Amino acid sequence: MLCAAALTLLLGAACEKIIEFKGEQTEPRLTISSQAEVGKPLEVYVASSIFFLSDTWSGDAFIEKLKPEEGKVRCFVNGSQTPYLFEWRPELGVPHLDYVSTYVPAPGDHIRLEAEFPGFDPVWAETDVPLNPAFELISAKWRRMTAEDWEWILDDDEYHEVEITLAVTDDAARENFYFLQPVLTSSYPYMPEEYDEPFDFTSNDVIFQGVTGESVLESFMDAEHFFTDEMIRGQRHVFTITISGLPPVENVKRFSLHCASVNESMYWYGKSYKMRVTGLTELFSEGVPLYSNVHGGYGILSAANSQWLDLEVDW
Amino acid sequence: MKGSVMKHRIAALSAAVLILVPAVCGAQKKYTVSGYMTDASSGESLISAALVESGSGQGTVTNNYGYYTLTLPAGEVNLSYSYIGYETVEMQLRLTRDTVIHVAFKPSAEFLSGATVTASRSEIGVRGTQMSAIEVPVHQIKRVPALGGEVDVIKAIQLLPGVQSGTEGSAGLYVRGGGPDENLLLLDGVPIYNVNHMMGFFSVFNADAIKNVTLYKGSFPARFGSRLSGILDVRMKDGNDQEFHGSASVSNLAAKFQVEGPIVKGKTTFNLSARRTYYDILSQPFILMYRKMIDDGLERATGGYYFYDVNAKLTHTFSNRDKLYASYYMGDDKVYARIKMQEGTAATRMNLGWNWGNIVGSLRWNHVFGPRLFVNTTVNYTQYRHKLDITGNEKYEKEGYDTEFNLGYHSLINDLSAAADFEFNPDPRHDIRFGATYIRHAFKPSVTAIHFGMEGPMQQQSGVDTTFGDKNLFTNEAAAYVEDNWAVTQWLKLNLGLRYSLYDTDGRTYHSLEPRVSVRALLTDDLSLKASWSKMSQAVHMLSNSNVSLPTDLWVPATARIEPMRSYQSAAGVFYSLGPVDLSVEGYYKTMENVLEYRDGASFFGSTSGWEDKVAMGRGWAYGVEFLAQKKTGRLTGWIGYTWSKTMRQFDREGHIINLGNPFPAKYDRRHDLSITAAYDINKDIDVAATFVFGTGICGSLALQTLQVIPAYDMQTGSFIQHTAPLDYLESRNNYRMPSYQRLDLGVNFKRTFRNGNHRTISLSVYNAYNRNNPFLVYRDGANLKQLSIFPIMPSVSYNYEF
Repeated sequence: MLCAAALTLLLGAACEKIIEFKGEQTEPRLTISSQAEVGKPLEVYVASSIFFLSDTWSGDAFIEKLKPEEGKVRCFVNGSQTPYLFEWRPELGVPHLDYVSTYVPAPGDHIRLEAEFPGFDPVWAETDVPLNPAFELISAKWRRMTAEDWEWILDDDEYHEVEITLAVTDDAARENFYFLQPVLTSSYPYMPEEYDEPFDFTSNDVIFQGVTGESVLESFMDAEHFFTDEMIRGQRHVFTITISGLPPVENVKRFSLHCASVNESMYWYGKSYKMRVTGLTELFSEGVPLYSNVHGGYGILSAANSQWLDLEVDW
Repeated sequence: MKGSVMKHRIAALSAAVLILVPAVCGAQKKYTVSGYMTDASSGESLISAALVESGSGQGTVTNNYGYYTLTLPAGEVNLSYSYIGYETVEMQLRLTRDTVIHVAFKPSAEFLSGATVTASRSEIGVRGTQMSAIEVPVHQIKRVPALGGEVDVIKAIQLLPGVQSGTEGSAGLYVRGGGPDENLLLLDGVPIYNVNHMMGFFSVFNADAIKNVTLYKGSFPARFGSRLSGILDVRMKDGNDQEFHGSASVSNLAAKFQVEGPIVKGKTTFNLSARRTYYDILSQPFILMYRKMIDDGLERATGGYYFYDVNAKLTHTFSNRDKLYASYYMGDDKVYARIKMQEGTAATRMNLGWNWGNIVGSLRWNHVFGPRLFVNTTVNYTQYRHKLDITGNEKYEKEGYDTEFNLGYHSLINDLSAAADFEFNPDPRHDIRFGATYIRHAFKPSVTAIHFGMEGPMQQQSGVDTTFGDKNLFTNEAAAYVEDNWAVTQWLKLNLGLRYSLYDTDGRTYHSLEPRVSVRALLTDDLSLKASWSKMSQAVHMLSNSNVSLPTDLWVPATARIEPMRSYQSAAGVFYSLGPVDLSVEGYYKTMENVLEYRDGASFFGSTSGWEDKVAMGRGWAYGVEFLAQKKTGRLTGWIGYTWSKTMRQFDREGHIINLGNPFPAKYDRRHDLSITAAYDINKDIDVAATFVFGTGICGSLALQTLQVIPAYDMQTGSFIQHTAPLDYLESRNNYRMPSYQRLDLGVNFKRTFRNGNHRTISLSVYNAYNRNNPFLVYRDGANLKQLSIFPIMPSVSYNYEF
């Protein structure tokens, strides 16, 4: 019986082998990435993708097959090509071709990018620059949290809660996608400005709910929120921010909300990107597809139009 | 508004009852023949045994308790009682009053030869209205070559068309595009939440304790509800009411026994079976070897895994009108490990205990009110529990420090239910069933408890003692149904049903009105066409990330935020009896609403978010064609099943986006699925069996390209441009299909009957006979794609003794 058991255990041991990949998407493609922001010159980054089983994987592999002198990257704004738009800036030392434009996106612009490089399929992408956002800050109320508010273990850090009432007042008929991010910066006495530190908000810190009362945590692991009109329907909206481990409040230099109208491409890309970098850290995590609107290749072309609201909090 | 909707629903239900009942009130004088059909040698009641009145062609079959009732016009009647594998009983009588006839069948000597073929009268065959259902005789299940020599009902069911398995070895059932949680798995009518032993490689159903197995994939009768995709109705043996019998067996995996017999002859019977695996015992020498190899302060290291289960049933017959059944199941999987180490002045102890299992109990009362009305009343209890405890202790005796650590992860689901099911046979053309059920669910989805404590020489004490987890939920589920199996004409038969379900949870009440329709057109005695449409709803979900069945798979209820699932299924098919072979071709189209999946990037581990934040609600659709040729009698038995199917999911609802809102194939989507099972009796002492399966590979997510993607939000500058590290790019969920699955299993049984009538069987079987490396997991390892296979060729032997 023992022999039979040993044999069974031996044969039952798991075995692994290398298998051949059968499927599509094995060839590298062009990747273009650009986020147009109103008031900032347009930048475009071009690189090549690398097949995941490639045995020549390295940082340089993203650009070694790209020949800038033979490649073409064109930009069209509202149907007209912008001449002499790009310049290559290889001095950045990052593994992509880096182009910067004299064109500064304006609300309502339509942008089309095209790229062609020898050995790759041509790619193109289009986007519209969003109209100006219209967020209105109604109120910001602060209070210090106590042990009764918090079920978790209290340590020596301070805990604060800020309740913010906000309204989105732009045209309801517009197809609106938004971005919202609290930004809190602390400075340190006797330290120069470059040592200012942003506070690292997490998903547990920013509670933002839709009109139905359902959680609309688009990125359930991160504090950044991309949301749509559908979730707030133009109403006044209340959300709360909890801040733990804050440096002494007297060191808070700036506390504001970064609000932005974004286009649909950015909405989808932003959500999927944050999911992608914050997810997949756990065993059995589901995969996270990354949004792309680049035809014939990969990457993203999208646009945002920002508005900053300073939060006057009497700490 | 809600009240108005409610009134309309009640009115609709009442109307349906009125429509179903009218034809029952005929004026012609009729009498009813009723009684029980049993096995003459054991007294075991027979399910789906047939009665046909040859003059009128009217017929019926026994219910799950062996009871039948047939109302016929007064006068001369020719009754023919039959059941596969038994001699047919014919009788002629003049029907002048309601008559009770109990029939005890004798086994047919010609059964194995195939000379006598009993026509299939059951509701599942050519003549019945029921489609999308399959009965697999237990003797056929027992002959399917099995992994580790352990016969498994679920593994046999996976070989049927329309049913797909998950990964290698998994006991999950994926019925017509549904998930493994969308099947109602009933043991003697009581739901079992987790039917898996050993991560799903074996199921809780012990074949020795089972009498009958029926799988419904669609065309659901109204008496069934609570799940979207499948109903597996497993019935336990009552026990021999004449004499004691039993069996004992050992295989390289488990030992088991079964005993049955009368406590009071002809009145009270029992049936008891139990089994236990002994992998933990067999693995001890290897653990000992490992301990000796590692001379690193390890003083003691033990560990192991085993499962056991116990089935018990008690049946008491008070009279021909009253029977009482009590059945009980208990099963547990246990993983344990104990380690003791001494390193320097530190003594460390660590214990791991990981248990999961079910307890199921039911009390059932059958009462015959009169020849035309039968009632089955039940009170049921079912529990699934999961408990993981890790405790550790570290002592620095010299320094006087003592630390301890406890971690517990527990989850639990308890159901207490009561039901009454009536069968009413007012007229030869109508079999009416109606009833109601109530279930009280108690969910404790997951609770994690952590304790950490430390004591030092200065009487310093510090520690953490906390518990967190999802809130406990108590929900109520109620349902009422009525169905009529209506023989409109000789060739046209309908099954019309309506079920109303109510689910009260988390301060919200959900209602569901579920019509069910099945139609059968009998073209010839051997050929029929069938079609059906049914709506189902389900208010419990199972959350699972993996392709294997893990005990951490979490059962959760519908809540105010998570709505119950619904499905709508249409099916049509052709059914043909070719001598002893039943042939069928069926096509189906099914849509599903509010199905759940983990959101992109989510898993059950780690995050402190509640489970509702980790899942999204979406929709699914599935369609396919199934072919089945099944032979239940003769020396050669078995079936050939083939399925072509497609199963998709889409999560595009606001706030419930998965895969960017685009459709994607379900994880268990298989385009082709073929299974061939055959058993052949060479002579009375030797039989052989073989099973071959082939299936398209299942799906998984694989990032195929790496990108240098730039844009990301930079909190320092408040800009949307930030240079980031390269990212693996996944285009779509479940974008990669694993290699195909195929396997050949072989088995041979050597039987011997001793002079005292006892039998012994030695079974040899080979799982995966040509040692195919089937994919269990595919993953990237550097520049290589690797496949993990877990079951190569696996011979096994078992010895069974019956007395």
